[in-house]
Amino acid sequence: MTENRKNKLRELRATLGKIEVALGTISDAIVWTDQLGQIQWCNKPFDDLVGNPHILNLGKSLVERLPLHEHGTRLPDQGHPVNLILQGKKNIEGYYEFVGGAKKAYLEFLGRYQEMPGSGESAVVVLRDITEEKNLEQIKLQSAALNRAANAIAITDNQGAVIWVNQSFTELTGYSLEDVYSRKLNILKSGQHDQSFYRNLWDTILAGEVWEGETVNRKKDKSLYVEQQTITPVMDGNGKISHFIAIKQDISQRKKTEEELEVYRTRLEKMVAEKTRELEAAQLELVNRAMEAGMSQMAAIGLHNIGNAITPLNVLTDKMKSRELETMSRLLHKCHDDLKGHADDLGEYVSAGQRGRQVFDYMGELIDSLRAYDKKQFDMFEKMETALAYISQILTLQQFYASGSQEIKELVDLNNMLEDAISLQMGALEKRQINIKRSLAEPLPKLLIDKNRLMQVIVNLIKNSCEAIESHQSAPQDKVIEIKTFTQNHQIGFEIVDSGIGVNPAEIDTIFKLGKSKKGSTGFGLYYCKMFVEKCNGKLIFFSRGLGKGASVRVAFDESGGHHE
Amino acid sequence: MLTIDALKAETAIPAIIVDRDGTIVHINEVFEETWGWRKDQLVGESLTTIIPDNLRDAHHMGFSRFAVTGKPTILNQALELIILKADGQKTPAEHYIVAEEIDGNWVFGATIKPLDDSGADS
Repeated sequence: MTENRKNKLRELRATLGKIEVALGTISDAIVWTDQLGQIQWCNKPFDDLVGNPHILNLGKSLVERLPLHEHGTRLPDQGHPVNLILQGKKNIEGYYEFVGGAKKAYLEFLGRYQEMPGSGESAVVVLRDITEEKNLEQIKLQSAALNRAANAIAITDNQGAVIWVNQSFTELTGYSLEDVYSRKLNILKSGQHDQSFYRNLWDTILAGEVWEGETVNRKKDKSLYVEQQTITPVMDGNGKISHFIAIKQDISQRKKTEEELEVYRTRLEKMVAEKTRELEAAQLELVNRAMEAGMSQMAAIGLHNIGNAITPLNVLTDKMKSRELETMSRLLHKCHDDLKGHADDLGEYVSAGQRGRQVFDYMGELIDSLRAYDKKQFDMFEKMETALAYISQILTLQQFYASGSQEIKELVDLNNMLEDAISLQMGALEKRQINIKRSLAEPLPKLLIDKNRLMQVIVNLIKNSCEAIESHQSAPQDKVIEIKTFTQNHQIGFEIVDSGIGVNPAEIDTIFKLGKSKKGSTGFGLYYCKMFVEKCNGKLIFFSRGLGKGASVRVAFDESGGHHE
Repeated sequence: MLTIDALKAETAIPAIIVDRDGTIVHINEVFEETWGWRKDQLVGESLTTIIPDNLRDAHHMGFSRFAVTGKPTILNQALELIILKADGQKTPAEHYIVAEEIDGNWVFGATIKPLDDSGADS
């Protein structure tokens, strides 16, 4: 190499040396790579940024040495701007977060694609650390947000002296920052809270915990307001409380609305309670009417039965009023007159004359008639006695099951009750020539129940069965009501099965509807039977295979629902 | 302390000496044997002859800065750097670089030893 060329080389080296020194003193990191993305050169700020000695960065992959994040997510290698520059032969400018080891920085990235004759392709990158600017920007943004926040915010030192308040604080309380700076927020005290309230507040925040609560405070204009307040202690690097941040929200309006709502709610509840009472009264009235209907039906059945019993009595009485004895007396008198008129020739009259002989025959017939009459009278008295006994029995049962509106529970024997019900209905059953079959479980535990209501139910069900049988034309031997009692699966109950007209299964539900009593019934229908049974903690199930196939009603009381022995 | 004179006398470890302009002025026989270069291929040539392409910028910049500032950054320490062998292969090697001012001019010298598992010729 000639001396001249050596001098030129030295000049160039001197220039390069100065550039190297200059590039090492600026704050921006500069790095360039070859076409493979391997670092050809970097300055000291780059070494400082990535935290490696200079010599260890040279020849290494820039993508590996400079891991970048965008929106908190690490960029994949193919998305790294250095690769994008080299692959797309373009320039890229942007902002990225550098997260390498313990260091984090927010970088402004300026990347240029270079193609130099002799040195090939290259990515030249200038990185500016704008973390502080970013933080400052963030702080400015947060500060602006705090200042414009709808909630009133006050920041105090650890002694509670105000160092900053936002616009909303001034709007809420009437106090500006100048008014409250370095003062304590107890200027807002309303006197509505006792000392223990504030003691609890301070104990909480001095323990490093957040205090939340409603406070009644006083504005600068002396008016009172209610605020929802959150006070948060802020810790310094040593874990000591450095500041408190109080966030306040005026909830006076909300409180007012809540109070109004409470008034509405109370009023509504009152209205609901009134309506409920009215409904309950209506329900009670319905029940009472049903009971009255049940009672009248019982009474009607009783009267009907008594009527049935009285009819033969009337007949007997009429018969007893007959002139039979008088006729016999008249005939006897005639015999007496005849015999008396022939007192002188009585022997000849009765032995020779035809008429005389007939007198004795008459007298013999009269004796027979008297005997027969006596027997008839005796039979009639017997029948009268039976009828009177029946009337007496019905009256006793009527009296026994005379219902009041009060529900009185007592222990009853279901078998006895069914027998009583059959007795009460005996007239109707006999009139329709209905056979009663009994299948009573013995012994049957006693049920604690309102016997009057239960009797109304049983009588009504038997009456329904009678009517169902009457509606169904069938031979006398097929007219049957079977009465069963049972105790099984912790249930006690009875079943009334009839050979009556039955019900179409599709219509079974409708017969339980209010007002669906059959034509001719007294209105105390299945609806009330079901209602009464359910009121007595029981269940009533109606079943029919269809029209002309009879029906059954099963009534069961849960052992656990009522008391029994 | 490794000196330029010591490097000139070195016979066991590959050694190289470069003048202030970056021109190679000496290699020993071990260097020739180890890295495949002959003296006539290197002496009088730029040091970049044995530096891979992608590290030449760094060499020029660092060499120039030292020329301007006289402040070393990589001297007097063992460094693992890539060397370009005569056959064109690139291989890591332990470099120990020194600089010495002789008669007012900087002279640079280095031992360049193969790593235990490097692909040295010997």
